[in-house]
Amino acid sequence: MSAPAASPWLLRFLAPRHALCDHAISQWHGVGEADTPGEDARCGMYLALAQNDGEKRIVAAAFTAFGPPVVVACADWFCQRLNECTIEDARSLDLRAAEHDLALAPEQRYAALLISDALSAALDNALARPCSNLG
Amino acid sequence: MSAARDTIYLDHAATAPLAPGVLDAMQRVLVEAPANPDSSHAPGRAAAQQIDYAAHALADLVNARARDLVWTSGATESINLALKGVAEFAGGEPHIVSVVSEHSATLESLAWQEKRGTRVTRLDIDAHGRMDLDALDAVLADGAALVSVMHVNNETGVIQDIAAIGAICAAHGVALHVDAAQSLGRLPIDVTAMNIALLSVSAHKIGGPKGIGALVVRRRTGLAAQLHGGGQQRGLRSGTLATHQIAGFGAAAAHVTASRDAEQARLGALRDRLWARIARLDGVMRNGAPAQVAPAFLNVSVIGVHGEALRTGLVEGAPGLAVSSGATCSAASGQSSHVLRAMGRTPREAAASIRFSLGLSTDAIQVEQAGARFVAEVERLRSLASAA
Repeated sequence: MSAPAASPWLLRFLAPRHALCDHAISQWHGVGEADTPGEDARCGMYLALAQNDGEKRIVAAAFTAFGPPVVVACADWFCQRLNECTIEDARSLDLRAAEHDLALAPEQRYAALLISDALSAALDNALARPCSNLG
Repeated sequence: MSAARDTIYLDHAATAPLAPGVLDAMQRVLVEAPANPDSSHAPGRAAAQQIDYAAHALADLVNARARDLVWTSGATESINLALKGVAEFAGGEPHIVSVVSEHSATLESLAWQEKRGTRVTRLDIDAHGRMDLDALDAVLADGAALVSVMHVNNETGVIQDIAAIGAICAAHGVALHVDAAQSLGRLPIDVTAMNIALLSVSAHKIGGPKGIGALVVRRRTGLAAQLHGGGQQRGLRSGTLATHQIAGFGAAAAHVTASRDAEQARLGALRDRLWARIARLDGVMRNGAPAQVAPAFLNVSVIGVHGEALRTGLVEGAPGLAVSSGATCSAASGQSSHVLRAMGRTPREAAASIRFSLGLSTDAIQVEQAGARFVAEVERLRSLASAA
């Protein structure tokens, strides 16, 4: 699919800031993956959490992504939004905000759902770990 | 390509920039020969003379007679005229033999005709993209109205052995139509020696203007007109001729006639240099056996990257690469290149394919930049996908 030069999702695809390969962190507290039917696209979400005042907060998020450009762009958008979120905040991230911010066309909206699924899996994974593992 | 100075243009198989002399020829004809070339008065004859010059330039390039040319709007119209015209002329339920890797202009025209009673046989290709000549020989034993084969594949650049195909067709008394949109100006074409009855060509692939093409219709080839009106061009294609477009086509034909051999050798060397740069990557496969691919073409499949991401990254990144891909969108939805899948590539390999096509504007610096850019983009996308 061609894209206007200044399309928000295109800019994020060309220069993502939250790719796992660019992250210095090697220990993650929550890891989750999701893929689309036929595995045309897949995403991994990596969460680092810290516990302050009895509440877990995400202090860093990173992604891996294989798929069309919008998958990379959505993963990067979610990772940016997750910073300082509680688990509950993260679970309630609004997909429509991603669609709006990235100017996704209707046929591209599956990408936000894919990342959301990977994020849910990562959050479940983080909650399943003992608190002592949190940095 | 002044509109995109920062883009490295490696998409000459899609369209080529105007060749030297083409713009001047078109402008001159627009000013000096504006009359209707079918008019019998002096200005009309002056316009007709310009068409005659162009016809000879193009005919000389393929060893045809100038009067055997039918001007069209491009190769798509030429192909439609050839396939539908022969079938209609033959009548009944004609049999047309073609190949699975043809351009959509052929495949869609045949599908359209199939719904109307034409029997169509589509021959397979091998892993190198070549058709099986024994299979052609066998299928022609049943008789056919026409064989239609693309000389140089538009995606891979794979060359079909037209001389051998023409000999088989001649032995069976079957007319051969060749889609030469990608081979005109790149490979020698001799419609007489190759037993070609119908030849479809397009101007903008060789540095001429868009919107003009031709169908060479050799003697004794039965063809029914598909466009009716004033009866121009021996009744085979009505409509006032676009004198300036034809003059541009003629100028482009004259240019490639003079420069083809040296230019194709230059492009072949550049293509090999590009491949050498790209081949340093793991998981990159060249589509089509190198010895059977036209010099200007390089088609590669890449493992470990998504086709749409690769294409978008190359086209939209900096510097941008103007390249094409047979992949429409998604490997999972089966929309990847029908040509590469017919050659045995997986849907994902076919989707993650890029066609580089070099031309007159390509130089060694561009090739080095394009190779480096391609390698960097593949490595970037693989890194984004990797958890290692």
